Amino acid sequence: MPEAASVATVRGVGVRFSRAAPALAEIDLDLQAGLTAVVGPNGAGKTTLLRVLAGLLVPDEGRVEIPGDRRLRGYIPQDLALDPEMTGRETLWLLAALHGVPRRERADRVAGLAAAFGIAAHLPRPVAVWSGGLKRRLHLAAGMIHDPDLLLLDEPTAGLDVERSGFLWEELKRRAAGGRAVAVVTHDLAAAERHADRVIVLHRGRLAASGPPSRLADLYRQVTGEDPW
Amino acid sequence: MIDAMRAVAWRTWTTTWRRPVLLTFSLGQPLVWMLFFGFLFERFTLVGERYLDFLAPGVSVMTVLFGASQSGIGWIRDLNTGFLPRMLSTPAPASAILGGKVLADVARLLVQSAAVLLLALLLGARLHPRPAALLAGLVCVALFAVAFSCLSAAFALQVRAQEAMATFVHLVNMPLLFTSTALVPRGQMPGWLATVSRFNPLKLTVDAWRGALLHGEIPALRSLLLLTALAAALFLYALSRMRAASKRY
Repeated sequence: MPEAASVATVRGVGVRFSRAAPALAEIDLDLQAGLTAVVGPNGAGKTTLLRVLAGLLVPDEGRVEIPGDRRLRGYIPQDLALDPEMTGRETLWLLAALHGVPRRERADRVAGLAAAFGIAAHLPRPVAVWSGGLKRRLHLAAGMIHDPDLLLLDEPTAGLDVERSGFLWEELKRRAAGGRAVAVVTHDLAAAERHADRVIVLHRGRLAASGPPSRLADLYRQVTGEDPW
Repeated sequence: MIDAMRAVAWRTWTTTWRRPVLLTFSLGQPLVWMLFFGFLFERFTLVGERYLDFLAPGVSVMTVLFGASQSGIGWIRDLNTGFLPRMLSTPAPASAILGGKVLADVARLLVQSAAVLLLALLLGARLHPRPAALLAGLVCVALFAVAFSCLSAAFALQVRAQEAMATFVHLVNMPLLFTSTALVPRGQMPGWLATVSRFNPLKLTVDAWRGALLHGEIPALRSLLLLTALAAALFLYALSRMRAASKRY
């Protein structure tokens, strides 16, 4: 079976924030359509890799090639990035406009995502009065408002209950099955094993291993010396 | 680009109206100055002009100066909530995001400036503007508003602390105000202060606005060009600070 075309190609990428050990070093990676889980211990460089792929961080070494329209890249950071004084609807509309979603499509996009994430009833209220879980859902919906071809998510299930967490993984799988590339940084190794098409393990800023999710436990143990479960 | 700018401007307007405290404070101070200075120096006549007439355009531009210095607070909030980096991670040009916010701030400042003039008229000030002069004068005030909204934004994004904005007011606004012709004509200043005031953009704007409102004079082209250059330079400076601050986030 021929290998799928890369949505993102990373070659020899290195990032250094200080004179200490690099945050990323010699990363070579071909990100393909499908759901890729990025795992590794704290400080392994997972978030840094996502920020490089999102174009938010320019690497000190190497190159990143992502063909296609930059409008079709989406990055959802771990920390909530919402304006508490805006309503949910205003937040989604503003981000749709900034992502260049055509005006005539915005209402449908907002309604569709709000329904999918179960936040429709809360949209007219300022985000400041939303609960933590609702804010997390709005944060995720806002990151998907432009239906990106390359979606990068950093710990997206943090703060979600089991039901919403399961829904999110299904939603990401649905997008990945539709030919999009989805990369998820997660510490939930059981979920990664269950849902991902491919797993990459980062350790001390290096891409230590990659393979199918069925080998996740072996790969993780091999690289970190820790029992993943 | 236009769509993104309009969306950011609309967002700035709606969130500003939800915080009436900010509007009240930035408008309240000049109104107090207008009332107290107006009554205090009511009997003064300055080279054929009543002091209240002279004061009205000065306090009107002063409102813009103080209101513009509040612009930075919004940028700090957006940086601290992560919303600015989020907006900058979209494909919308950074200049559209800055431009949209500045546009909304300038519109607010012009409305506040007009409110001060209305109060002056109610107190008995006599203004004699002509349409062309009024329009050109308004352009000068708007350019000044762009310049100082951008300066406030650049400072805020550099220091990233709301408390530091009080320092901005004391370090920038006060020296600008007291070396300008907003409250006192240049002829009444000590020699050295009069010399300093020549290089003060607030003085340039106040003189243009005062000439337009009191005598129907169209501001000099030189004033318009200088204010345009200042606004453009500070816009570019704020843009560079915005990008740098977002990267550090």
